[in-house]
Amino acid sequence: MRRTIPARLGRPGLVVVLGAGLAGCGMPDPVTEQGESVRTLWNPTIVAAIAVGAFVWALALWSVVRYRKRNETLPTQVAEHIPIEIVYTVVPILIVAGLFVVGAATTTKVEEKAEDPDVVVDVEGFQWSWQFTYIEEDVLVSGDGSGTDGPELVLPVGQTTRLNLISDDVAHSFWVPEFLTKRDLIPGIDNEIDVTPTETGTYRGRCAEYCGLDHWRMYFSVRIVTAEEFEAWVAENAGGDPVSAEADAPEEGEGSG
Amino acid sequence: MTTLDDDLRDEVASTPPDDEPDRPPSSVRGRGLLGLLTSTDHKVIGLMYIVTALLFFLLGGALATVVRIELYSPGTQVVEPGAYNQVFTMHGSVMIYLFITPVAFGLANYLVPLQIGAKEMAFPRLNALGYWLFLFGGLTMVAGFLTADGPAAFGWTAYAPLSEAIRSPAIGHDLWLFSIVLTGTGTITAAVNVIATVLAMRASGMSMFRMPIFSWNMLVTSVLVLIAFPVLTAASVMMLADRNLDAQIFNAEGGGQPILWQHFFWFFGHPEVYIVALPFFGIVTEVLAVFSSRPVFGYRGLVLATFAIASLSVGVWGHHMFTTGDAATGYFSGLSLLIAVPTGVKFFNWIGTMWGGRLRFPTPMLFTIGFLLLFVMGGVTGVVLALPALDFQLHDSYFVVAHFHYVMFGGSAFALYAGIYYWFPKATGRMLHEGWGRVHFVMTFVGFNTTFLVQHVLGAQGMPRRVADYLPEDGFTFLNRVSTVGALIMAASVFPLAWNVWRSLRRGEVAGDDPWEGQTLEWATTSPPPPHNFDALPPIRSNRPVWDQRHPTRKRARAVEAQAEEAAT
Repeated sequence: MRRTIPARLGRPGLVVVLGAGLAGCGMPDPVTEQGESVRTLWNPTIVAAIAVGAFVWALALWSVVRYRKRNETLPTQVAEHIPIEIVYTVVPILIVAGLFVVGAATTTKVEEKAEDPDVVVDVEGFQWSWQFTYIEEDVLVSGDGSGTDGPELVLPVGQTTRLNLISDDVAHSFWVPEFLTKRDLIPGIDNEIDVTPTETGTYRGRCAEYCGLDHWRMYFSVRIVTAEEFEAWVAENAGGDPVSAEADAPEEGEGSG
Repeated sequence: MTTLDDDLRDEVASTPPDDEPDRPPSSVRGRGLLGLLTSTDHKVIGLMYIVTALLFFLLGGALATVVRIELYSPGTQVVEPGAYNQVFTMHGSVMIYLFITPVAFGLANYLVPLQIGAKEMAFPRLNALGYWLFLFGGLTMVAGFLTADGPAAFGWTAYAPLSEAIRSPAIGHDLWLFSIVLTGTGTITAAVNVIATVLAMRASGMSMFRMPIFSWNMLVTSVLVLIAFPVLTAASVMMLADRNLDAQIFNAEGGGQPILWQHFFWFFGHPEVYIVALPFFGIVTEVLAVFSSRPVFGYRGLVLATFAIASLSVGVWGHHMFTTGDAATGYFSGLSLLIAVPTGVKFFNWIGTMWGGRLRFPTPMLFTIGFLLLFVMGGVTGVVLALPALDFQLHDSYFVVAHFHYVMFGGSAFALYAGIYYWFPKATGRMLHEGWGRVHFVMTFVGFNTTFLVQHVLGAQGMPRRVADYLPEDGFTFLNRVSTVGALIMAASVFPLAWNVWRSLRRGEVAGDDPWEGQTLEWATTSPPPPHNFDALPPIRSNRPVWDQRHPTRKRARAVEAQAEEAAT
């Protein structure tokens, strides 16, 4: 009776780990070319991770069930087994070597920079909002830190945009979950990423690096539009006053914390 | 200091302490408060370390409960964002600096001399100093709660330039940094002491490769401490200089370099992950061998794996910084993946120890099985995070929160619980109650998984860590509620443990010297051990002298058996 308790715990536990694995496939659908590369790496990696985890669970739980104490006979006192030890050292090395190669390939692809990006935007983070400066188009979008909508970053679909990530106060991080990537904005470090959106739509972006009091609501939004809509938007806003999406949006009561 | 006391050497040869009658209880008892304050007995100091760390654990757990309650729903539940930031900062800081690191050294203080057959630590007074630095350093940190502006709120990582005085002016931040300097110095003295003790104080016959794995791991941990903690301590002094003396070391506006703090911090921070893992790997190894009635499988390989982990761990700090653009992704990804190999080897050592054994499942073993099942999940998500392309999405999200709680709680804390149930009889002379132990295990296991499993999903979907709130339209509400319910179960799981300790200290079953059929030297003395630790030592001819003593006639037969089995496969 007592001996079977760990075994009983194990079965729901196995379901839990499988469930975790399946649910873990829960990255959002990517909306950029770079994000699609990440997704292509994520799926097999998470399956491999679950497989390794399940293998260890199976070995551990099998031992628990199979080798529970049944009588007073002393078990054999095997203290080592060199061939097995070599196998269980070499096989993991091969697995991580494989992962390293695919991982490095994807990282290179995600970090690839276009020689001549179609649009260049300076993305500046500050406590606690964002400012987007379209250099050639002469458009400035700025948030004022009120509310929970944040300023809007407008990007043309199918074109490559270079984002220069800048901060002058503290460290922030530019994260649009649907891009499946993020990058930090750190005083003294110049970061840049390229994004090539593949689908139109509006997505929420957020600061991912803890940056003080209102870090939690340092939001922005990304609106991906067709090339024509982008040109129209640029024409409408070029050279004029800073565009502030927040000025129009209704503020939410809880946003003043 | 002599390498080995002469009288100890004599005792080695004398008769083993078979069924000793009940000894008077602990050397602590009857000495009063003054006795505690002035003690240099490694067992007393070890217990003070452990009890103090566990009190900080309760504080850290209470803060975690506040965090989870606040995140139950969008909007403010119990604390405003400013207070929330202080709460999560202090949760992480208390747990890392004041609980899990010191508790490991508390165990080391208590156990290493007993396991290697020594009378004392090498430097008893330095040992006491280390404890008092830890206690007052810890009190310095939590004293932030008593200041007008509250405790530190820059996260347990204290990233520059947020931690500069202009961005975080409250005095609580200075207290936090002073605390790191004090506790860090305390940890360094403890590490020096463990290293000296292991190298110089071993009993006759206790060669390095006959040491219990826990003592091995504490040796390696201590070496890592000497590599990592001075860097953190020095960096904290630099930050104090920045804040109070206008030093501009980490301030970009003054010509400093904020990212330097991250390099310093993680050069400490990643070895630290293993500093708070290796001691607990040691516990698990001991418990598995004893309750499987087997020797540790692949003992030498296990020691080598520990060295490999320690060596690699000083070269992987950049994987915390993939998204900063200031860490070479290829190099740090490669080494981070590689460190999974020796960790994996340990898993096979542990399973190999159980395989073909005769397994019993009292509470220490339950928590150890729990450790195996949960820590592997933290391990595989760690491998996922070692791939920079995936880390770009998952970094600073709840996926990372889930990952390191599976490592730190599912791993280290479960192993610590195993160790508490395992060595409580040695330290107090009384057994903890099995029934309450099982209740504690089930509640912890269920509560833990309910809290943290769903956080993988929240993170992958886009919930950042360290946020005081989220919005209804984010779609994070349901999983956050699940997580909060789990956290409440975890919080409640402390009560069966506390009750168990309370009742067992008074009327727990009397343990005797060796209630578990132990294998290592601490089971050769009385429970609790006398002030001088051993009246007599058994002969030490392998890495499990107490086992050898219990099975004298079978020894040769076993060796023959083992060889036969090896030849057969």
